[in-house]
Amino acid sequence: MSDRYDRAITVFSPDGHLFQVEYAQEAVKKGSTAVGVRGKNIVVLGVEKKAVAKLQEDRTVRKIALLDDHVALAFAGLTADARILINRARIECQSHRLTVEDPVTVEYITQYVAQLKQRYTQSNGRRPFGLSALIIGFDMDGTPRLYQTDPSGTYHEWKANTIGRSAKTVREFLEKHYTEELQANDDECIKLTLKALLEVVQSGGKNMEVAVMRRGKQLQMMESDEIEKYIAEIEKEREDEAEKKKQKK
Amino acid sequence: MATYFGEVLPVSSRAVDLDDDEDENDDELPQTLPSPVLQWSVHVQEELNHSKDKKLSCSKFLLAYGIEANAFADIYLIKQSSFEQIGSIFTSSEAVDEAAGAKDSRRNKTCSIFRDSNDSSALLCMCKRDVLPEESYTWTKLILDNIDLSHAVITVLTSCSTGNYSSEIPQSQLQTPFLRCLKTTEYTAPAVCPALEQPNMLTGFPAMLMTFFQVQKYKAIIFVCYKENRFIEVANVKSFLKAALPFTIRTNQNTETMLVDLTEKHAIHDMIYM
Repeated sequence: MSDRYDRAITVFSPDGHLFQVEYAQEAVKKGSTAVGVRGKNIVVLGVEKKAVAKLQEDRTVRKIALLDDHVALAFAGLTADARILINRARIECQSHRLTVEDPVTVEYITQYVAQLKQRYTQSNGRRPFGLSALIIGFDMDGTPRLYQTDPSGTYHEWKANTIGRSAKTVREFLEKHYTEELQANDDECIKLTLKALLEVVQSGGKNMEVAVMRRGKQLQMMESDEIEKYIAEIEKEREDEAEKKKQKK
Repeated sequence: MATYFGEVLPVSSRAVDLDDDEDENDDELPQTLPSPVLQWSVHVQEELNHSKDKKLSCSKFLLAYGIEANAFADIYLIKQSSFEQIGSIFTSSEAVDEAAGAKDSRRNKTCSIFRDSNDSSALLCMCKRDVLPEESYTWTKLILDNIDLSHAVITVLTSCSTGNYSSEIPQSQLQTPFLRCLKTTEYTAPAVCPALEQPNMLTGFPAMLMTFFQVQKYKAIIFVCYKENRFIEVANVKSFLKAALPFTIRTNQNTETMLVDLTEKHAIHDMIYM
């Protein structure tokens, strides 16, 4: 099976696998879930918040990071690897501003992150980054963007996507519920993010963190009572639907 | 000895072996592992003094080994019905036993034996300590010498990482957690889950236990929960609900909250993945 072909990352197995890269993708699944939803005028990032120890300051436990004023990233996987990647991306954002006098486009910074990750899968004595990232933001022309990268260095643009634990379940949920009409409504985008997270997060709103970016505005982290308000709405909708179904019967 | 460049090096002789590092290392290793001791509570000890073979009679025996199995036994059995602690297994090594002191902490590493208050022949052993492979013989022997399992239905619960699971299905497509079982030839009840496939096998303490049970012709079955994460997860603990257990399992709302609390207590210490 994987005998000997997973000792070095630069070695293919006879059937064309790069095992170390595949193992790195397993590390992503060990991280908690992150969901991204793109609307017409809004991009939303929602993550499962990690419970912190009693004496730990939760300021330093973050899954969502700002790369530049108009670009943010949520990751799932190895925390320490993410820190390095975020630092590099932040520097690139500033360096781009200095040299080109324009902020980076979201695709540019995604490509930069993906390139960095890919390099680590092809050179000796290194290991791949054990993390996937969702990168959101607005381009200069006001287009909302949502990209996803993985440990192999692949990146793609998405309307809605998820990474981390139970990503498959959540992605199926998003595929089922994401519609063209939903895109136009900012509130619906936020609700879809929360609903998707509720599929896997056990204790509801208090274990979630949501960041919202609207066109022309800076990233805004939602307060917990605001999240609770949305969740209460979602629960009410669900109850109403259940009642309607009952009446039909 | 002076070399060509004029530096002076210590002379080494090929005739005598000056490298006695290996021997030193050997000295550091303990020659014999501390042997475990089973301590019964006072009234059980009295019961045993009256019995013929000094063995506790038993009709149902459940042994939980590993954090998931212990969490399961604790939440679904100990906390739900009336069990009394009747004994503990200690090692004579003080350092190990001392670390086992703190109750209720995640570092709690005791090995305790409980008895169902309603059925004096139903025993439950929660082994929270990691039994080293080289210790497993003495531990197994100790249990067999003190408890009469010849007529008992024995169930062992343990867990293992999917990293150690070999199959044709790629790791990433395995639906975790899943249960596998292995039983002795005497255990004839139909299986509730697939048997552990070759080339997978048990190792360490559970393997030693099952080997003994097979050799002694006891009725025993082991359930292994294959899990993905290092830390305890609700689904992993719950997977044992599918196992055929000698005890009746009661669930209520409390079990759910206790499970979530427990997993949180463990998960907050894992900051590697986020």
